[in-house]
Amino acid sequence: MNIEAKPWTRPAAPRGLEGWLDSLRDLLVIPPELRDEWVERDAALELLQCGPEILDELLRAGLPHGGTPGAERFDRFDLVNLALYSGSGTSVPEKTMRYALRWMHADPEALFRPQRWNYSVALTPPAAHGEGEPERTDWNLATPHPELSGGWTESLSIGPAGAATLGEKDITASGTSGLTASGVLVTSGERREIVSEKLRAIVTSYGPDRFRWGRMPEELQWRKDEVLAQGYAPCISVCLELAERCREAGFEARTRRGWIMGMLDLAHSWLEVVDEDGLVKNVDPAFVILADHHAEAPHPDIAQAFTGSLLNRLLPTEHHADEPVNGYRRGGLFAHPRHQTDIQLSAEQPAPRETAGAGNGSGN
Amino acid sequence: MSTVTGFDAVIQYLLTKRPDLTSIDPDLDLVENRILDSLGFVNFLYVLEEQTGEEILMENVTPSDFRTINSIRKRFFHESE
Repeated sequence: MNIEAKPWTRPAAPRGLEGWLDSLRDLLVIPPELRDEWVERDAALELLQCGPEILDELLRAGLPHGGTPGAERFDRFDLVNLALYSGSGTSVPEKTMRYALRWMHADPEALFRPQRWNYSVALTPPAAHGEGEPERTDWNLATPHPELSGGWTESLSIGPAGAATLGEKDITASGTSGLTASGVLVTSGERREIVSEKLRAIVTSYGPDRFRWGRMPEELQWRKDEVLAQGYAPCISVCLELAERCREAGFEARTRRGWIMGMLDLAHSWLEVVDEDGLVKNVDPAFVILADHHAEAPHPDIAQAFTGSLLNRLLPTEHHADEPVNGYRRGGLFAHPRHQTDIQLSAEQPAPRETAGAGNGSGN
Repeated sequence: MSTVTGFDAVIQYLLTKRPDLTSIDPDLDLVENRILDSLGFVNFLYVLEEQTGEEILMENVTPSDFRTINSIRKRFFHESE
């Protein structure tokens, strides 16, 4: 694969204009059919924290935008990715990432023990659709399956009562104005390591030495060849690619979609592959890249934990990487619903107990 | 440089987000009234950590903890409304 972007390494000291221009040079520009240039100049300056002089330099150097001179409008994903690899250290995306990845400081052993979470999701119609005509609506929300990594469901309530149905793959409802799910879930994990050298070579081939993570619409991540060729390996793209390569090499593999626990509202995807010892190994190349590029003082063993182990930080579903965790259809047409996802660590943690353990098969 | 600390410093920080306001009703929705937004949220978390002296872990908070002055006071300064 010919990768267009240069490998990115975290700078030892904050960078100035050159860092911004380097980041722009390797920016994955959101393509026209998925662009949404609604971020105004003032909001862009607040997000980038670079000052108007640098923003003007970036505009002269080709930062894509709409609007008029002095009143430019930008795509939010372009700005986030531009900031993430600027090396400025002060932009909102860089600070947000450092904050959100603090859990990567901890000893990986903390990722394998049972943890209890209060879980709540509420879906409402997309803003553009208003509240009208609920009789023509169909809703789905991926059913949580913590047992796939050794956890369990303590309780799960779905709503509206009498209208929502709990299925193996999805919670569904039709003709309602929304969909809710809440309960108490216990996630768990297990340290596992890749045994097959052949498999290890495949699953570590999209590492931080060559690829960078980026924010972009799910629909773009599904176009994995286009995204990976630009040196970006967001979770969906890289998992779809790795599953394909693992299967070509004779390994049973699938992608899985779920949520990252304790990060307010973040869906995620990872790879599940059956190693030559017969055990499922979870591989999370996006976490490996994030730890190397964006986490502050990550634990030295954390990347190893992301390459084989099952993690209590992830809540699996039966969805694949290219299936959104929730959906809304009106008159048969799909749209992303508005969603509020609260996943908070419970004050009471589970007592140790004998469990059936995590599954051995990939559940294809 | 401001010498205000603790909860008062948090209020002062929030007021900088809406210079047209001189005070904030303790039950005002900070998100709906554009005092807190996604852009400013992490900066606000760093301010809260500095003023409470405690690390705020994302897994221990929900959006409702930041919805009003009263909820912030109760959740992070352990004071009743």
